Amino acid sequence: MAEAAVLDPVVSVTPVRRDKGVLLTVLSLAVLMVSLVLAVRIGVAASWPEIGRSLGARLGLPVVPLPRLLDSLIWDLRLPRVLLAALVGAALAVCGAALQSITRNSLADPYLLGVSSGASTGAVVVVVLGFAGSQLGVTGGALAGALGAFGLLMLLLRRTGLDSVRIVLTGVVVGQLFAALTSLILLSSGDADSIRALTTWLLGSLASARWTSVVVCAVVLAVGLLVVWLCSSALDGFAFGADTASSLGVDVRTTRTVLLVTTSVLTAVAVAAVGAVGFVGLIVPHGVRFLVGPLHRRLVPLSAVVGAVFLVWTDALTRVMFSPLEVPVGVFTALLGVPLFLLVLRRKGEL
Amino acid sequence: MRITVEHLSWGVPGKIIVGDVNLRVEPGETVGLIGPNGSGKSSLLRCMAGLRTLTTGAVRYDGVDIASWPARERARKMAFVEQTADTDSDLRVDQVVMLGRTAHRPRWRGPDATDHAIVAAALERLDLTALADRSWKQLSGGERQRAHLARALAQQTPGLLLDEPTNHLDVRHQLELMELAGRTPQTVVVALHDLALAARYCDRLVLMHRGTVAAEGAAEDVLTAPLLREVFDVDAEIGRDSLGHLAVGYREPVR
Repeated sequence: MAEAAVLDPVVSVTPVRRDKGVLLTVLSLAVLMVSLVLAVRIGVAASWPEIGRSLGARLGLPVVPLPRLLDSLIWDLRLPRVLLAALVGAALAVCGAALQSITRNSLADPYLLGVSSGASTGAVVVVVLGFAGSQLGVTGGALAGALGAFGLLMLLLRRTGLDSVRIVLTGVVVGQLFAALTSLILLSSGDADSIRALTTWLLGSLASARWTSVVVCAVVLAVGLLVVWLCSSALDGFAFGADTASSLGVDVRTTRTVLLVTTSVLTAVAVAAVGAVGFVGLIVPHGVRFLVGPLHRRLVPLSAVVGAVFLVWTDALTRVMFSPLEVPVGVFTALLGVPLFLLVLRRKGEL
Repeated sequence: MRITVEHLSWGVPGKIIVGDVNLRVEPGETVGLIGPNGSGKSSLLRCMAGLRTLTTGAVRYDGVDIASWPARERARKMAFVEQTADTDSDLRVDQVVMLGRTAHRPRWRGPDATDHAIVAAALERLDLTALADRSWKQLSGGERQRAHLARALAQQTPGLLLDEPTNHLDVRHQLELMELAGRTPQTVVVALHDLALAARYCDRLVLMHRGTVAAEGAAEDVLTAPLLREVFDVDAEIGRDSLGHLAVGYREPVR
């Protein structure tokens, strides 16, 4: 086809810039692994050999098993907690990166769509109705509430062109509605204890992490991460708005729908598991953009890893800083994240 | 590629923006779209690019109605440069141009050597090679416009739709760009405000007025004092400049 030979490029003088990306991926994964291992040890009265024995016994290695209590402390409490921190951190950061692109709003975070407000309403309802005794009760209620909020969001958006401003405004409206419902229920029927418990939950805490949450989060994250990553070039295309994206070959409506569903489910599962941990989804993608630039092929996976590392360490800090009192991890993500982020901004000369 | 527009109408609720437009652009032709603000040039270009759901009528590429085409297929046939497409994203110039390769590679694959070579060639064409590593935020308006054009060229489409591409460009780059638009084997439709530039580089002009085509044909036939008075509400005189190019002079508007 003669028409296609518009540019007749000379192949090829441009070196493919791939080395930096590979190096960063390997490096960040290594950092994540080391963080996971170290974090298991932090704030637990067990030595390395003891942790090794606990893991070894589970993996069927010929080691002397630990006493039940210590073993349970490591295997049933600490290990799932560290892993859940990593999974939730990764999920929130990926959601933030995707939503910042499809809404073209650098303030977008996973809670923008009102999903987390729905989760709190669900959790509050469960607590007030008295099912709070079982941990699964709160988690299940939060998940139901989150999916309810998401359902309402999609219902309100169903006949629109899904343009950026409308997504943001509808998300805010849904969030406000569920926030108001939460307050209403709390004030009308909550006692002081449940209010306190819920406030802690709303700020996010990993103390209740169990293996079930880890498995659910891992599966959802794996699928979600793959979906978002496959949308990388579409997310890049959104940089110049919907029309340009469409002219580049991005199916704007389908992509937005797929990404809204994916990020909402990711957020719902993360919030249901640990509460609304703030800041990670907003700041981590920005920080990673400073490192590797705005292209999502790298931004998305690296955000996942950095988000994971960030939350693993923040949670480790919450365990030891005010021990034996545990501060909600959501408080620390901001306390730790703000100075880190300002440092990055400063290095880039944007502040 | 031949672009055919048949009885095209498009509007927003309560208002028709483009009404019953018929147009035929032959392969390799460069057609200039002129008309006052709000005459429907940009909307027509968006419809021709397949970015709007038409109220009535059809847009055809080589005779095939594009209404049900997937975005990827459309993007391999037609590139489109918006009038104002800006971003907060900190993309580099070469990354912006690489966006043009989106529809040419599977979603799981990053750019390969061919993509990079095509991007390099497009940058070269628009005189942007030296700016390849520059951040979008550091570019001037004209450089951004050229980057968008390079991106559209990198798309390697048989068709090209340009909305006011000479905005913000200095004279030299205006001339180079229009020469490129006129010379390329692509079928080009370009919306322009500069009537003399349109007359000089386009094979044919289409004059839009209130959402319809008011006149169509060679520059000499479209750029006439009565037509310009009717459509633009100006008192114009058409002549030749000292180099022999068609020139348009305007008298003071009478209030």
